[in-house]
Amino acid sequence: MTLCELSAAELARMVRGRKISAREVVRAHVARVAQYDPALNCFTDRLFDRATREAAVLDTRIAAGEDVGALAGVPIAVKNLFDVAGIATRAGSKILRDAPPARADAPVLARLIQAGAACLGALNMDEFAYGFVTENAHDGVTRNPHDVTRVAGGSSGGSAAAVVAGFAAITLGSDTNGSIRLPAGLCGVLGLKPTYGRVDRTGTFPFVDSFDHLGPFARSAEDLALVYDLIQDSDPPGAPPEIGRVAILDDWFEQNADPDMLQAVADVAKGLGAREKVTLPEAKRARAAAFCITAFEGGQLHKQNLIGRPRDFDPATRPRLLAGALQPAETIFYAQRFRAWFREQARDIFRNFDLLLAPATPCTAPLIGQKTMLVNGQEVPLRPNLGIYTQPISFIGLPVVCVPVTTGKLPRGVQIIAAAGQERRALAAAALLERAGVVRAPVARLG
Amino acid sequence: MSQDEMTAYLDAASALLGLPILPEHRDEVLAAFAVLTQQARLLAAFALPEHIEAAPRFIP
Repeated sequence: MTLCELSAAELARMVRGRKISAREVVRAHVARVAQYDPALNCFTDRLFDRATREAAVLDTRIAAGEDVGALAGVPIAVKNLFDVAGIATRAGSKILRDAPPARADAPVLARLIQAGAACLGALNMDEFAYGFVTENAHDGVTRNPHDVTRVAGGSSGGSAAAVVAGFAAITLGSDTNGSIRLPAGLCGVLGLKPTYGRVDRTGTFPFVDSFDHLGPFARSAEDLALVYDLIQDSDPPGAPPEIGRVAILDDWFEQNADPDMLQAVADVAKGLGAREKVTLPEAKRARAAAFCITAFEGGQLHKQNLIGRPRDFDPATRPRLLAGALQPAETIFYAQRFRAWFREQARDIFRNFDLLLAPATPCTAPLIGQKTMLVNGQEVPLRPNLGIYTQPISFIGLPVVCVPVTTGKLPRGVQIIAAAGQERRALAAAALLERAGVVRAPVARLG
Repeated sequence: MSQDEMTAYLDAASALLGLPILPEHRDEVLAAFAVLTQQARLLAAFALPEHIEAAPRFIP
Protein backbone atom coordinates (compact mmCIF):
# COMPACT_ATOMS: atom_id res chain seq x y z
CA MET A 1 0.00 0.00 0.00
CA THR A 2 1.40 3.42 -0.95
CA LEU A 3 1.47 6.42 1.39
CA CYS A 4 -1.44 8.00 -0.48
CA GLU A 5 -3.63 4.97 0.22
CA LEU A 6 -3.12 4.98 4.00
CA SER A 7 -5.74 6.39 6.32
CA ALA A 8 -5.15 9.55 8.32
CA ALA A 9 -4.90 7.53 11.54
CA GLU A 10 -2.29 5.21 10.01
CA LEU A 11 -0.25 8.10 8.60
CA ALA A 12 -0.32 9.95 11.92
CA ARG A 13 0.76 6.83 13.82
CA MET A 14 3.72 6.40 11.44
CA VAL A 15 4.72 10.05 11.67
CA ARG A 16 4.44 10.15 15.46
CA GLY A 17 6.43 6.89 15.66
CA ARG A 18 9.14 8.41 13.43
CA LYS A 19 8.75 5.66 10.85
CA ILE A 20 8.37 8.37 8.25
CA SER A 21 8.64 12.15 8.28
CA ALA A 22 5.72 14.49 7.77
CA ARG A 23 7.65 16.03 4.89
CA GLU A 24 7.84 12.66 3.10
CA VAL A 25 4.09 12.17 3.54
CA VAL A 26 3.34 15.63 2.15
CA ARG A 27 5.80 15.17 -0.70
CA ALA A 28 4.09 11.95 -1.80
CA HIS A 29 0.66 13.59 -1.80
CA VAL A 30 1.91 16.71 -3.58
CA ALA A 31 3.40 14.51 -6.30
CA ARG A 32 0.12 12.64 -6.72
CA VAL A 33 -1.90 15.86 -6.95
CA ALA A 34 0.56 17.30 -9.49
CA GLN A 35 0.36 14.15 -11.62
CA TYR A 36 -3.34 13.42 -11.58
CA ASP A 37 -5.31 16.51 -10.62
CA PRO A 38 -5.03 18.17 -14.05
CA ALA A 39 -7.35 15.39 -15.27
CA LEU A 40 -9.70 15.48 -12.26
CA ASN A 41 -9.80 19.19 -11.30
CA CYS A 42 -10.32 18.78 -7.57
CA PHE A 43 -8.15 21.71 -6.50
CA THR A 44 -8.92 25.38 -7.12
CA ASP A 45 -5.93 26.53 -5.04
CA ARG A 46 -2.75 24.52 -4.51
CA LEU A 47 -0.87 25.51 -1.39
CA PHE A 48 2.03 23.09 -1.61
CA ASP A 49 4.52 25.51 -0.04
CA ARG A 50 2.24 25.98 2.94
CA ALA A 51 1.78 22.23 3.43
CA THR A 52 5.51 21.65 3.14
CA ARG A 53 6.20 24.37 5.74
CA GLU A 54 3.62 22.89 8.12
CA ALA A 55 5.17 19.44 7.70
CA ALA A 56 8.67 20.79 8.34
CA VAL A 57 7.53 22.51 11.54
CA LEU A 58 5.92 19.29 12.66
CA ASP A 59 9.05 17.24 11.99
CA THR A 60 11.05 19.73 14.08
CA ARG A 61 8.57 19.42 16.94
CA ILE A 62 8.68 15.62 16.77
CA ALA A 63 12.48 15.70 16.82
CA ALA A 64 12.22 17.85 19.94
CA GLY A 65 10.08 15.20 21.61
CA GLU A 66 6.82 17.18 21.54
CA ASP A 67 3.37 15.58 21.53
CA VAL A 68 2.12 16.59 18.09
CA GLY A 69 -1.53 15.59 17.88
CA ALA A 70 -3.87 13.12 16.27
CA LEU A 71 -3.35 14.26 12.66
CA ALA A 72 0.44 14.44 12.70
CA GLY A 73 1.63 14.93 9.14
CA VAL A 74 -1.77 14.19 7.58
CA PRO A 75 -2.40 16.04 4.29
CA ILE A 76 -5.81 17.69 4.23
CA ALA A 77 -7.70 20.13 2.00
CA VAL A 78 -10.94 22.12 2.27
CA LYS A 79 -13.84 23.17 0.06
CA ASN A 80 -13.16 26.70 -1.11
CA LEU A 81 -15.85 28.21 1.08
CA PHE A 82 -13.65 27.74 4.17
CA ASP A 83 -11.38 30.65 5.03
CA VAL A 84 -7.80 29.67 4.27
CA ALA A 85 -5.28 32.27 5.37
CA GLY A 86 -3.79 34.13 2.43
CA ILE A 87 -6.36 33.32 -0.27
CA ALA A 88 -9.78 34.75 -1.10
CA THR A 89 -12.74 32.65 0.07
CA ARG A 90 -14.58 32.41 -3.25
CA ALA A 91 -17.23 29.74 -2.60
CA GLY A 92 -16.91 28.69 -6.22
CA SER A 93 -17.86 32.12 -7.55
CA LYS A 94 -16.46 34.69 -9.92
CA ILE A 95 -17.99 37.46 -7.83
CA LEU A 96 -15.75 36.79 -4.82
CA ARG A 97 -12.63 36.30 -6.91
CA ASP A 98 -11.38 39.77 -5.97
CA ALA A 99 -12.29 39.53 -2.30
CA PRO A 100 -9.44 40.27 0.09
CA PRO A 101 -7.49 37.20 1.18
CA ALA A 102 -8.66 35.58 4.42
CA ARG A 103 -6.56 36.78 7.32
CA ALA A 104 -6.84 33.49 9.23
CA ASP A 105 -7.96 29.92 8.72
CA ALA A 106 -11.57 29.08 9.59
CA PRO A 107 -11.61 27.78 13.20
CA VAL A 108 -12.43 24.20 12.11
CA LEU A 109 -9.46 24.18 9.74
CA ALA A 110 -7.26 25.74 12.43
CA ARG A 111 -8.19 22.90 14.77
CA LEU A 112 -7.01 20.29 12.25
CA ILE A 113 -3.75 22.18 11.70
CA GLN A 114 -3.30 22.41 15.46
CA ALA A 115 -3.64 18.62 15.55
CA GLY A 116 -0.72 18.28 13.13
CA ALA A 117 -2.38 18.33 9.69
CA ALA A 118 -0.85 20.02 6.64
CA CYS A 119 -3.17 21.97 4.33
CA LEU A 120 -2.62 21.25 0.63
CA GLY A 121 -5.17 23.77 -0.63
CA ALA A 122 -8.78 24.56 -1.49
CA LEU A 123 -11.20 22.42 -3.46
CA ASN A 124 -13.76 22.87 -6.21
CA MET A 125 -17.50 23.15 -5.60
CA ASP A 126 -20.77 24.28 -7.17
CA GLU A 127 -21.07 28.06 -7.15
CA PHE A 128 -22.13 29.26 -3.69
CA ALA A 129 -22.75 25.57 -2.79
CA TYR A 130 -26.00 25.61 -4.78
CA GLY A 131 -25.78 22.39 -6.78
CA PHE A 132 -25.24 18.65 -6.74
CA VAL A 133 -22.80 18.13 -9.62
CA THR A 134 -19.68 20.41 -9.27
CA GLU A 135 -19.91 21.47 -12.88
CA ASN A 136 -18.73 24.98 -12.10
CA ALA A 137 -18.91 27.59 -14.90
CA HIS A 138 -15.88 29.45 -13.53
CA ASP A 139 -13.63 26.68 -12.20
CA GLY A 140 -14.64 23.79 -14.45
CA VAL A 141 -16.04 20.35 -13.68
CA THR A 142 -14.58 18.02 -11.07
CA ARG A 143 -14.44 14.53 -12.52
CA ASN A 144 -15.27 11.36 -10.63
CA PRO A 145 -11.99 9.49 -9.99
CA HIS A 146 -13.74 6.12 -10.52
CA ASP A 147 -14.90 7.16 -14.00
CA VAL A 148 -13.73 10.50 -15.37
CA THR A 149 -16.70 10.75 -17.73
CA ARG A 150 -18.96 11.11 -14.67
CA VAL A 151 -19.58 13.83 -12.10
CA ALA A 152 -18.18 13.72 -8.59
CA GLY A 153 -21.43 15.04 -7.15
CA GLY A 154 -21.75 18.29 -5.28
CA SER A 155 -21.63 20.74 -3.98
CA SER A 156 -18.52 19.46 -2.14
CA GLY A 157 -17.40 17.55 -5.24
CA GLY A 158 -13.74 18.50 -5.00
CA SER A 159 -13.66 17.41 -1.37
CA ALA A 160 -15.06 13.93 -2.06
CA ALA A 161 -13.04 13.36 -5.23
CA ALA A 162 -9.77 14.45 -3.59
CA VAL A 163 -10.16 11.80 -0.88
CA VAL A 164 -10.95 8.92 -3.21
CA ALA A 165 -8.17 10.06 -5.57
CA GLY A 166 -5.66 9.72 -2.72
CA PHE A 167 -4.80 13.43 -2.83
CA ALA A 168 -5.63 13.96 0.86
CA ALA A 169 -6.60 11.56 3.63
CA ILE A 170 -9.10 14.06 5.04
CA THR A 171 -11.05 16.91 3.51
CA LEU A 172 -13.72 19.24 4.82
CA GLY A 173 -16.95 20.18 3.08
CA SER A 174 -20.36 21.63 3.79
CA ASP A 175 -23.84 20.14 3.53
CA THR A 176 -27.01 22.21 3.20
CA ASN A 177 -29.23 19.79 1.28
CA GLY A 178 -26.87 16.85 0.77
CA SER A 179 -23.59 18.42 -0.32
CA ILE A 180 -21.44 16.09 1.83
CA ARG A 181 -23.54 12.92 1.62
CA LEU A 182 -24.26 13.09 -2.09
CA PRO A 183 -20.66 13.44 -3.40
CA ALA A 184 -19.43 11.00 -0.75
CA GLY A 185 -21.86 8.42 -2.13
CA LEU A 186 -21.10 9.08 -5.79
CA CYS A 187 -17.32 9.04 -5.24
CA GLY A 188 -17.21 6.12 -2.80
CA VAL A 189 -15.88 7.70 0.39
CA LEU A 190 -17.33 8.21 3.85
CA GLY A 191 -18.85 11.54 4.76
CA LEU A 192 -20.22 12.87 8.03
CA LYS A 193 -22.91 15.51 8.28
CA PRO A 194 -23.12 16.25 12.00
CA THR A 195 -26.24 17.44 13.82
CA TYR A 196 -27.31 20.96 12.81
CA GLY A 197 -25.51 23.44 15.05
CA ARG A 198 -22.92 20.96 16.30
CA VAL A 199 -19.93 22.39 14.40
CA ASP A 200 -19.01 26.09 14.47
CA ARG A 201 -19.49 27.65 11.01
CA THR A 202 -17.39 30.73 11.73
CA GLY A 203 -15.00 31.52 8.89
CA THR A 204 -17.00 29.75 6.22
CA PHE A 205 -19.07 31.35 3.48
CA PRO A 206 -22.76 30.71 4.19
CA PHE A 207 -25.51 29.50 1.89
CA VAL A 208 -28.71 28.79 3.85
CA ASP A 209 -28.47 29.61 7.52
CA SER A 210 -31.40 27.30 8.35
CA PHE A 211 -29.66 24.20 6.98
CA ASP A 212 -25.88 24.78 6.66
CA HIS A 213 -23.61 22.14 8.23
CA LEU A 214 -19.85 21.48 8.05
CA GLY A 215 -18.27 18.04 8.11
CA PRO A 216 -15.44 15.76 6.99
CA PHE A 217 -14.78 13.24 4.22
CA ALA A 218 -12.46 10.26 4.78
CA ARG A 219 -11.74 6.71 3.63
CA SER A 220 -12.43 5.11 7.03
CA ALA A 221 -14.89 5.44 9.89
CA GLU A 222 -11.96 5.80 12.29
CA ASP A 223 -10.77 8.88 10.40
CA LEU A 224 -14.26 10.42 10.37
CA ALA A 225 -14.49 9.92 14.14
CA LEU A 226 -11.02 11.37 14.59
CA VAL A 227 -11.99 14.57 12.80
CA TYR A 228 -15.37 14.70 14.52
CA ASP A 229 -13.58 14.73 17.89
CA LEU A 230 -11.40 17.60 16.73
CA ILE A 231 -14.01 19.92 15.22
CA GLN A 232 -16.59 20.02 18.01
CA ASP A 233 -16.65 20.28 21.80
CA SER A 234 -20.18 19.42 22.86
CA ASP A 235 -19.95 15.63 22.38
CA PRO A 236 -16.85 14.41 24.25
CA PRO A 237 -15.31 11.05 23.31
CA GLY A 238 -16.51 8.04 25.26
CA ALA A 239 -17.19 4.34 24.85
CA PRO A 240 -18.81 3.64 21.45
CA PRO A 241 -22.58 3.37 21.84
CA GLU A 242 -24.61 0.29 20.96
CA ILE A 243 -25.85 0.22 17.36
CA GLY A 244 -29.37 -0.37 18.67
CA ARG A 245 -32.43 -1.02 16.50
CA VAL A 246 -32.03 -0.21 12.83
CA ALA A 247 -34.80 0.26 10.26
CA ILE A 248 -34.93 0.93 6.54
CA LEU A 249 -36.85 4.03 5.48
CA ASP A 250 -39.52 3.09 2.94
CA ASP A 251 -42.11 5.07 0.96
CA TRP A 252 -40.39 8.22 -0.45
CA PHE A 253 -36.92 6.75 0.15
CA GLU A 254 -37.61 3.69 -2.01
CA GLN A 255 -39.98 4.99 -4.65
CA ASN A 256 -37.60 6.52 -7.15
CA ALA A 257 -34.37 4.64 -6.56
CA ASP A 258 -32.56 2.40 -9.01
CA PRO A 259 -32.67 -1.26 -7.91
CA ASP A 260 -28.87 -1.16 -7.44
CA MET A 261 -29.23 1.60 -4.87
CA LEU A 262 -31.89 -0.31 -2.94
CA GLN A 263 -29.61 -3.36 -3.00
CA ALA A 264 -26.85 -1.28 -1.39
CA VAL A 265 -29.30 -0.27 1.36
CA ALA A 266 -30.26 -3.92 1.78
CA ASP A 267 -26.57 -4.90 2.08
CA VAL A 268 -26.01 -2.30 4.78
CA ALA A 269 -29.23 -3.34 6.54
CA LYS A 270 -28.09 -6.96 6.59
CA GLY A 271 -24.72 -5.91 8.00
CA LEU A 272 -26.49 -4.09 10.82
CA GLY A 273 -29.10 -6.79 11.45
CA ALA A 274 -31.97 -4.56 10.31
CA ARG A 275 -35.15 -6.28 9.15
CA GLU A 276 -37.89 -3.75 9.74
CA LYS A 277 -39.05 -0.89 7.57
CA VAL A 278 -40.51 2.38 8.76
CA THR A 279 -42.13 5.37 7.08
CA LEU A 280 -41.00 8.93 7.68
CA PRO A 281 -44.30 10.60 6.79
CA GLU A 282 -44.54 13.41 4.26
CA ALA A 283 -40.85 13.25 3.28
CA LYS A 284 -41.87 14.45 -0.17
CA ARG A 285 -43.26 17.64 1.35
CA ALA A 286 -40.21 17.98 3.60
CA ARG A 287 -38.11 17.99 0.49
CA ALA A 288 -40.41 20.59 -1.08
CA ALA A 289 -40.12 22.81 2.00
CA ALA A 290 -36.32 22.51 2.02
CA PHE A 291 -36.31 23.35 -1.69
CA CYS A 292 -38.27 26.59 -1.18
CA ILE A 293 -36.41 27.75 1.94
CA THR A 294 -33.06 27.08 0.26
CA ALA A 295 -33.89 29.19 -2.78
CA PHE A 296 -35.30 31.96 -0.61
CA GLU A 297 -32.49 32.26 1.92
CA GLY A 298 -29.85 31.81 -0.79
CA GLY A 299 -31.52 34.45 -2.95
CA GLN A 300 -31.77 36.90 -0.07
CA LEU A 301 -28.12 36.33 0.84
CA HIS A 302 -26.98 37.20 -2.68
CA LYS A 303 -29.55 39.91 -3.40
CA GLN A 304 -27.12 42.81 -3.73
CA ASN A 305 -24.99 40.95 -6.29
CA LEU A 306 -28.10 39.71 -8.11
CA ILE A 307 -28.95 43.39 -8.53
CA GLY A 308 -25.47 44.68 -9.25
CA ARG A 309 -23.66 41.84 -11.02
CA PRO A 310 -26.29 39.38 -12.34
CA ARG A 311 -24.18 38.39 -15.35
CA ASP A 312 -21.29 37.28 -13.12
CA PHE A 313 -23.23 34.38 -11.58
CA ASP A 314 -22.95 30.83 -12.85
CA PRO A 315 -25.92 30.37 -15.23
CA ALA A 316 -26.86 27.23 -13.28
CA THR A 317 -27.15 29.19 -10.04
CA ARG A 318 -28.56 32.60 -11.04
CA PRO A 319 -32.15 31.75 -12.00
CA ARG A 320 -32.77 29.71 -8.85
CA LEU A 321 -31.43 32.47 -6.61
CA LEU A 322 -33.45 35.16 -8.40
CA ALA A 323 -36.66 33.14 -8.40
CA GLY A 324 -36.04 32.07 -4.82
CA ALA A 325 -35.66 35.63 -3.55
CA LEU A 326 -39.00 36.59 -5.14
CA GLN A 327 -41.09 33.89 -3.45
CA PRO A 328 -44.00 35.04 -1.27
CA ALA A 329 -43.30 35.20 2.46
CA GLU A 330 -46.28 32.88 3.04
CA THR A 331 -44.46 29.98 1.39
CA ILE A 332 -41.36 30.38 3.52
CA PHE A 333 -43.26 30.84 6.76
CA TYR A 334 -45.34 27.73 6.04
CA ALA A 335 -42.20 25.77 5.14
CA GLN A 336 -40.61 26.71 8.46
CA ARG A 337 -43.76 25.66 10.30
CA PHE A 338 -43.74 22.39 8.38
CA ARG A 339 -40.14 21.91 9.49
CA ALA A 340 -41.21 21.92 13.13
CA TRP A 341 -43.99 19.42 12.38
CA PHE A 342 -41.69 17.12 10.41
CA ARG A 343 -39.10 17.14 13.21
CA GLU A 344 -41.79 15.71 15.52
CA GLN A 345 -42.50 12.89 13.07
CA ALA A 346 -38.81 11.93 13.09
CA ARG A 347 -38.68 12.11 16.88
CA ASP A 348 -41.60 9.68 17.03
CA ILE A 349 -39.71 7.20 14.87
CA PHE A 350 -36.60 7.47 17.03
CA ARG A 351 -38.65 6.35 20.04
CA ASN A 352 -38.66 2.90 18.43
CA PHE A 353 -35.47 2.90 16.37
CA ASP A 354 -31.92 4.13 16.83
CA LEU A 355 -30.70 4.30 13.24
CA LEU A 356 -32.47 4.70 9.90
CA LEU A 357 -31.16 3.73 6.47
CA ALA A 358 -31.79 5.35 3.10
CA PRO A 359 -29.97 5.71 -0.22
CA ALA A 360 -27.85 8.84 -0.61
CA THR A 361 -28.91 9.24 -4.24
CA PRO A 362 -31.47 7.66 -6.58
CA CYS A 363 -28.69 6.46 -8.91
CA THR A 364 -24.93 6.09 -9.27
CA ALA A 365 -22.78 8.95 -10.63
CA PRO A 366 -24.39 10.52 -13.73
CA LEU A 367 -22.42 11.48 -16.81
CA ILE A 368 -20.89 14.95 -16.99
CA GLY A 369 -23.34 17.25 -18.75
CA GLN A 370 -26.26 14.88 -18.29
CA LYS A 371 -29.50 16.88 -18.04
CA THR A 372 -32.08 14.26 -17.17
CA MET A 373 -32.32 10.89 -15.48
CA LEU A 374 -34.80 8.06 -15.46
CA VAL A 375 -36.74 7.38 -12.28
CA ASN A 376 -39.38 4.69 -12.38
CA GLY A 377 -39.18 4.85 -16.16
CA GLN A 378 -39.91 8.59 -16.21
CA GLU A 379 -37.45 11.16 -17.48
CA VAL A 380 -36.92 13.92 -14.90
CA PRO A 381 -34.41 16.82 -14.65
CA LEU A 382 -31.18 15.53 -13.11
CA ARG A 383 -29.88 18.39 -11.00
CA PRO A 384 -32.83 19.04 -8.69
CA ASN A 385 -33.60 15.35 -8.28
CA LEU A 386 -30.20 14.03 -7.21
CA GLY A 387 -30.85 15.26 -3.66
CA ILE A 388 -34.34 13.90 -3.12
CA TYR A 389 -33.21 11.52 -0.34
CA THR A 390 -30.78 13.85 1.40
CA GLN A 391 -32.91 17.02 1.53
CA PRO A 392 -35.61 15.77 3.95
CA ILE A 393 -32.91 14.73 6.45
CA SER A 394 -30.82 17.92 6.53
CA PHE A 395 -34.14 19.83 6.63
CA ILE A 396 -34.40 18.74 10.27
CA GLY A 397 -30.68 18.68 11.01
CA LEU A 398 -30.24 14.98 11.79
CA PRO A 399 -26.70 13.57 11.86
CA VAL A 400 -25.80 11.22 9.02
CA VAL A 401 -22.81 9.11 8.10
CA CYS A 402 -22.84 8.32 4.39
CA VAL A 403 -21.08 5.02 3.71
CA PRO A 404 -20.03 3.63 0.32
CA VAL A 405 -20.91 0.19 -0.95
CA THR A 406 -18.32 -0.39 -3.65
CA THR A 407 -19.01 -3.87 -4.94
CA GLY A 408 -20.42 -2.70 -8.28
CA LYS A 409 -18.86 -0.76 -11.13
CA LEU A 410 -19.61 2.54 -9.44
CA PRO A 411 -19.95 3.34 -5.70
CA ARG A 412 -23.37 3.55 -4.10
CA GLY A 413 -23.85 5.69 -1.01
CA VAL A 414 -26.11 4.76 1.89
CA GLN A 415 -27.17 7.21 4.58
CA ILE A 416 -26.97 5.99 8.18
CA ILE A 417 -29.24 8.48 9.94
CA ALA A 418 -29.25 8.94 13.71
CA ALA A 419 -31.37 10.96 16.11
CA ALA A 420 -30.17 14.51 16.78
CA GLY A 421 -26.98 14.44 18.83
CA GLN A 422 -26.28 10.75 18.16
CA GLU A 423 -23.40 11.04 15.67
CA ARG A 424 -21.38 8.41 17.53
CA ARG A 425 -24.02 5.75 16.98
CA ALA A 426 -23.89 6.29 13.22
CA LEU A 427 -20.08 6.31 13.31
CA ALA A 428 -20.10 3.04 15.28
CA ALA A 429 -22.40 1.49 12.67
CA ALA A 430 -20.06 2.60 9.88
CA ALA A 431 -17.10 1.04 11.70
CA LEU A 432 -19.03 -2.22 12.16
CA LEU A 433 -19.86 -2.33 8.46
CA GLU A 434 -16.19 -1.82 7.60
CA ARG A 435 -15.16 -4.71 9.82
CA ALA A 436 -17.81 -6.87 8.15
CA GLY A 437 -16.46 -5.94 4.70
CA VAL A 438 -19.75 -4.35 3.60
CA VAL A 439 -18.30 -0.85 3.41
CA ARG A 440 -14.97 -0.06 1.75
CA ALA A 441 -13.51 3.14 0.37
CA PRO A 442 -10.43 2.19 -1.64
CA VAL A 443 -8.41 4.85 -3.43
CA ALA A 444 -9.44 4.95 -7.09
CA ARG A 445 -7.03 3.66 -9.72
CA LEU A 446 -5.88 6.67 -11.71
CA GLY A 447 -4.01 7.07 -14.96
CA MET B 1 -51.55 29.88 -11.63
CA SER B 2 -51.30 30.43 -15.37
CA GLN B 3 -48.09 31.42 -17.11
CA ASP B 4 -49.42 34.96 -17.50
CA GLU B 5 -50.32 35.19 -13.81
CA MET B 6 -46.90 33.89 -12.84
CA THR B 7 -45.19 36.43 -15.09
CA ALA B 8 -47.35 39.21 -13.63
CA TYR B 9 -46.48 38.11 -10.08
CA LEU B 10 -42.75 37.99 -10.85
CA ASP B 11 -42.83 41.45 -12.41
CA ALA B 12 -44.71 42.88 -9.44
CA ALA B 13 -42.48 41.18 -6.85
CA SER B 14 -39.37 42.21 -8.76
CA ALA B 15 -40.50 45.86 -8.70
CA LEU B 16 -41.69 45.76 -5.09
CA LEU B 17 -38.49 44.16 -3.77
CA GLY B 18 -36.15 46.14 -6.01
CA LEU B 19 -34.70 43.04 -7.58
CA PRO B 20 -34.72 43.53 -11.36
CA ILE B 21 -34.56 40.64 -13.82
CA LEU B 22 -32.54 41.33 -16.97
CA PRO B 23 -34.45 40.62 -20.21
CA GLU B 24 -32.01 37.86 -21.17
CA HIS B 25 -32.61 36.14 -17.82
CA ARG B 26 -36.42 36.30 -17.79
CA ASP B 27 -37.14 32.90 -19.30
CA GLU B 28 -34.75 31.01 -17.01
CA VAL B 29 -36.07 32.81 -13.91
CA LEU B 30 -39.65 32.09 -14.94
CA ALA B 31 -38.77 28.39 -15.37
CA ALA B 32 -37.10 28.28 -11.94
CA PHE B 33 -40.08 30.05 -10.38
CA ALA B 34 -42.45 27.52 -11.94
CA VAL B 35 -40.52 24.70 -10.25
CA LEU B 36 -40.63 26.53 -6.91
CA THR B 37 -44.34 27.17 -7.30
CA GLN B 38 -44.93 23.47 -7.92
CA GLN B 39 -43.06 22.62 -4.71
CA ALA B 40 -44.86 25.37 -2.76
CA ARG B 41 -48.25 24.03 -3.89
CA LEU B 42 -47.33 20.53 -2.76
CA LEU B 43 -46.42 21.94 0.63
CA ALA B 44 -49.49 24.15 0.94
CA ALA B 45 -51.76 21.19 0.22
CA PHE B 46 -50.84 19.77 3.61
CA ALA B 47 -52.97 21.09 6.45
CA LEU B 48 -50.69 21.80 9.39
CA PRO B 49 -52.20 21.78 12.88
CA GLU B 50 -52.77 25.34 14.07
CA HIS B 51 -50.50 25.06 17.10
CA ILE B 52 -47.34 24.36 15.05
CA GLU B 53 -44.90 27.26 15.32
CA ALA B 54 -42.23 28.11 12.75
CA ALA B 55 -38.94 26.30 13.34
CA PRO B 56 -36.46 29.16 13.77
CA ARG B 57 -37.16 30.78 17.09
CA PHE B 58 -35.62 33.84 18.63
CA ILE B 59 -34.09 32.92 21.96
CA PRO B 60 -33.22 36.01 24.01
